[in-house]
Amino acid sequence: MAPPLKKILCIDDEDDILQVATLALEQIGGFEVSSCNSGKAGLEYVCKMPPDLILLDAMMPHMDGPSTLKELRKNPETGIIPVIFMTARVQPEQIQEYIAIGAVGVITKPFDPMTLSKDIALLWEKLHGA
Amino acid sequence: MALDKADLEALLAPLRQKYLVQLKTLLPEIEMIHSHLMEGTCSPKDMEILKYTAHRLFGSGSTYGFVAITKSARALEIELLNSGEPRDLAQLSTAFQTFLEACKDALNSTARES
Repeated sequence: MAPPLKKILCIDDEDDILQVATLALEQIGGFEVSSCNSGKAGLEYVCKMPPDLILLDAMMPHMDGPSTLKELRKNPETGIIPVIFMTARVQPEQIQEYIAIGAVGVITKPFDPMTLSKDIALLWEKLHGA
Repeated sequence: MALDKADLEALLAPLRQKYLVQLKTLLPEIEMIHSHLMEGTCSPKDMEILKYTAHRLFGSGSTYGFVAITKSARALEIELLNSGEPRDLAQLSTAFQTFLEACKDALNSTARES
């Protein structure tokens, strides 16, 4: 049985995406959601308040999703936190690339706010073999 | 908490409005790039802005209920990524025009609603 998923950190440079994802995950999924608008801010936040799961935008200026994931993995305490990428890069090979570097799943943009929580819960269950 | 689609729509309404305000602000810049494209004076910076904008709006349009923005932004993005040099300007312009219309339709639909 999968452990309960409670705390999710969303990292995305687009405020409108952060707001709608937060609203959907809190109101529909019942999760506790925090958000950061850059990879750097996300890394700082994770060290202070480690979430159960990170929802990470793949394409961001300065530090993109893959670079942020790489930094997370360098620290043993943050390296074990599962990461799901959010991306508008929808080619199958691009999605495979994210899985290959350690993402546990990929949510494609544009996402449906109504089903976002369910999609994440399914990936969480899959991760834990439930 | 069990929310149905109507509940979610109500919660999303203010964010949707904010999205449209941002779109309205963005539109003159996109239209200017379209003019540059038509006049043959489009700079590399214009193209970068256009690529970024198309990618961004592709990734967010449907989330806010603007399916036509997502579809046309994707078509434009593909056109921008695929077109080599010299670009097929007619094809690019058509994709660009469709994208502009989708953005304007979204803004007009909200104007009619309010």
